[in-house]
Amino acid sequence: MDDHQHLDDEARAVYAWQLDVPGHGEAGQLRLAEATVLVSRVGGLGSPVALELAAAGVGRLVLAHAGVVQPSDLNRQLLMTHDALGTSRVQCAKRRLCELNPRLEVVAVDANIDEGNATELIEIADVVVDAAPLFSERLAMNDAAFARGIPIVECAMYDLEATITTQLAGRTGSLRDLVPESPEPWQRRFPVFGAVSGAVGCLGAMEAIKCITGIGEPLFNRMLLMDLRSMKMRELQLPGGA
Amino acid sequence: MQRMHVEFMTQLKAAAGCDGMEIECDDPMPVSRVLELVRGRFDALGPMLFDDQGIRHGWLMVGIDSAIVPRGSDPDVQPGSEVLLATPISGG
Repeated sequence: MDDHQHLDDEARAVYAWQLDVPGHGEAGQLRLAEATVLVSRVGGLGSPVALELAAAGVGRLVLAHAGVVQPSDLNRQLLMTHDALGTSRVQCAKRRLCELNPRLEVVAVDANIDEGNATELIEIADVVVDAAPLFSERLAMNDAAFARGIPIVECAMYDLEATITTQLAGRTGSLRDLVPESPEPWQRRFPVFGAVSGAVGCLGAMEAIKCITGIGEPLFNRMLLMDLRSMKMRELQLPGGA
Repeated sequence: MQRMHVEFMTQLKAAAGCDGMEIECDDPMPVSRVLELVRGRFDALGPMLFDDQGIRHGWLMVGIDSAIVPRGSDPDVQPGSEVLLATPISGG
């Protein structure tokens, strides 16, 4: 990019296939280049989200994820590698993403989102993708996104099932309207294949791209419910829309 | 006799060990009655549907046909409808 005003020849070459998407073009690509997306956790869901956003040419990713790479991450956390076991997850993710797209700026935060840092991290983002496992951090993040008035993509999975919706203050209800408190049955570890997190993660990235570029219709007031066991996919209307 | 289909998803499906159940009915019945019938058929689902006071959990996702029911409301379910029940899920 040339001062974010024009795509240079290299960018036109890299993004050639998506520049041809109707309604996107160079103007949409410049919007992606100027955008910052916060991805909360780069695990099973967040890894494909971040990969697709990096590949699409989003200018800056803020990645928040505490801890080190563990063997049990590797079935689904596509940004983690075997040789990085025991080292920082978020630094491993940053390295992989910059290999994919050297133009990308990555802000690596070696912490999970909580009430103490949610507002500060969301302050620098244009869109948030919630790929976190704990409802306490999800609610803190969703509250902060609503307070700031930026869209937040809510991704979730369990077994071979997954859900995704996009929320925005003034347009939709919030996560708190659906889940007012941490549900008792939820457990930090649950059954899932990486192919399930990969599928919903890619959809989450597409929702973020739509929010940034203005193409298509985000899942406002709708939830896509997927059962990959039967390959049954449904759209549910959500309450609480403005 | 008509039927309504109740579909279990996420942790409810695992706890019940099946995808759902049928309820025979010729008249509409409120969601609360549907949940009682589910609990009566599957003991293991009781704590995932109701709290200690017997009140429906605020986080329980209840859908009728293609719409999620607002939290705390108790609309009627028509014979022939499909009710979807799910506990909330997350990333990881």
